[in-house]
Amino acid sequence: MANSQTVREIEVAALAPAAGPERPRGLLELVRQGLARVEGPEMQTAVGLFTDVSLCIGCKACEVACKEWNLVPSNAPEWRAGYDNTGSLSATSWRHVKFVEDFAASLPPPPPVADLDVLALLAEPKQGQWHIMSDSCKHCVEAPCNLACPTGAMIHTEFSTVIVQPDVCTGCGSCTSACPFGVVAQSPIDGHAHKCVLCYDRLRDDLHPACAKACPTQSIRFGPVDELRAVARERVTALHARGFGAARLWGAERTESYSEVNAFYLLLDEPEIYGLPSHPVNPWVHVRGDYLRGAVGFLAALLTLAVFAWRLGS
Amino acid sequence: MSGSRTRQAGGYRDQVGAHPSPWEGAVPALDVFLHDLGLGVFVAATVAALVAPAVMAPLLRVAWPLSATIVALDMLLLLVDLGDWTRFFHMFRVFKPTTPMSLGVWALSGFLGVMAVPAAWGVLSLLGRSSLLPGSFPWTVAALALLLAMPATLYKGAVFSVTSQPGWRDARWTAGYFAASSVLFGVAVLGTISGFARTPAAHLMWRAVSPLVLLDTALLAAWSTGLSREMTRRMPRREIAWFWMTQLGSRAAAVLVTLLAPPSATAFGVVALLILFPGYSLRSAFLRLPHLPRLAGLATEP
Repeated sequence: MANSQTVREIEVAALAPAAGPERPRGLLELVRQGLARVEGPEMQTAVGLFTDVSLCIGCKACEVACKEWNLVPSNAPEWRAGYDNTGSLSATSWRHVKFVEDFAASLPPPPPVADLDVLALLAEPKQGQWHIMSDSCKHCVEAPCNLACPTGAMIHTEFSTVIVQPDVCTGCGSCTSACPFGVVAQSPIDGHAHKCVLCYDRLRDDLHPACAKACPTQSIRFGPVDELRAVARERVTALHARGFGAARLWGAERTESYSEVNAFYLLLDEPEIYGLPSHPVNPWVHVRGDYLRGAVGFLAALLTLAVFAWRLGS
Repeated sequence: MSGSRTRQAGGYRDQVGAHPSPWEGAVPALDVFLHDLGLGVFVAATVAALVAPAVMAPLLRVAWPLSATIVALDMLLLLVDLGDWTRFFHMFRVFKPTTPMSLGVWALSGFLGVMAVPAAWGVLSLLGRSSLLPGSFPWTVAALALLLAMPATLYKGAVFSVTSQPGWRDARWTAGYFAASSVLFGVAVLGTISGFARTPAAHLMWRAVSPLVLLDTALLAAWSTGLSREMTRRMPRREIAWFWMTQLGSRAAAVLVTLLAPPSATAFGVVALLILFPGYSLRSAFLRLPHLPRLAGLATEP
């Protein structure tokens, strides 16, 4: 059955191509078409993800859904301390569920089973907590990866998300070096950069990203970014009222050194324990000054040389 | 949180920050070095020849082909580093002047294309057939190449400083230092050639070495202020001290040689070695910096 299916596919592919846009003829036409400005798709409402770590149960459904929908290759199993066997975001892991055990260093021994009282257990003060977070690309409004890409492979879509076009990616590594969150990575398989594309194909079909669709607790919520921000603020207020004083939003607001991001987080502790910087810095804030200092160094050296050449020449 | 609590080695603190840059190893280090060397030879020779044509013009027939060859070799390394050379053409899909890599590829490719004419003139001159090209033509083209040489020189340092890599992101004078030291490289190489050829250009280059080394050292000091924090986190103190001692010591030795010895071919050779070897070693160490593991006790982002 599999063989006949394969043969059928080959037969279909071998058929004459359907009428499509004509290929450019001649060098002039090729140049003209190359320079012609192509209209992009109409801009849509900016969408994104709001990840609420207080609701994450660490089921990894988002990781699996992401790999399945986007056909991301599987990783070799890797045993680590705790439940995290993904390790980090990579070209083959566009989602990474992180587990942080925040418990007392030495817990009192549990009482004998016969003495267990469920109601008493629920009432006793908590010994600690899990921090579980599903991490992915932040889809920055001013994305360093996009700014660094020399080929236009990294683009902002009509949904204000950031995607890679692997067919025009050179694998130069600029985006990998620029991303301050360790999201973009080069694939050892094809050498191109890869990262979460927020299921661009699904968005175009008016569907939710696979991770948000698969999340059983709505820890990952998808929607228009403005609405998500409002929801997130309400949630923080609610958590504060319930005693989670450390609850905070990360990435929802622009800071002095970084733009707001379209995939932002509600955290229950300081960002560093989740692998996020407290004060992210966009390296592009310095680009003009760096060019200027480069010009200063270059011209100073040339001027020095020219003075000696002039003195000797004259 | 209180000290009595455990957090599985601090959670993901060790993952705060960027993925290590793929620009690591001998090829990128050699690429940066050859880039600065090739452009430095052209810029130093052409600018000096514009100001003092009688002294410098004879050196151009060697300098221009040499510069074009070194830059071509550098571009070959860039292609090798990409893994698949055909991907290089994607670089010409867009022109983003604010993106150093895009600016650099356009400027460097344009420079190399334009440099074919002065380089060909140089080779023809060496073969005694310079009359095949009209007299002013190579000069006109070289002036155009000079315009392209500036962005081509500046981009390389900026490529590193606009990353999120520890050390690279903090060093604000990378482009300034690389650009100035490329001129010094050029002077060192041209001086050695003129020393061997016994042309008057040797005197010019000899005198220019000391002030250029001083400028280079001043810019190195400015550059190192940005690097020092990450160096102390990733390199043992002894290694850092040794590194800076060799860098500064070689510069001091180069200045001393130019002050005490006449501009002979041997003296120029020594000075060139004292400038070029530390230049390569500095670039190599700079590229390695973000890939070095943090020293014990400094495993997390501040």
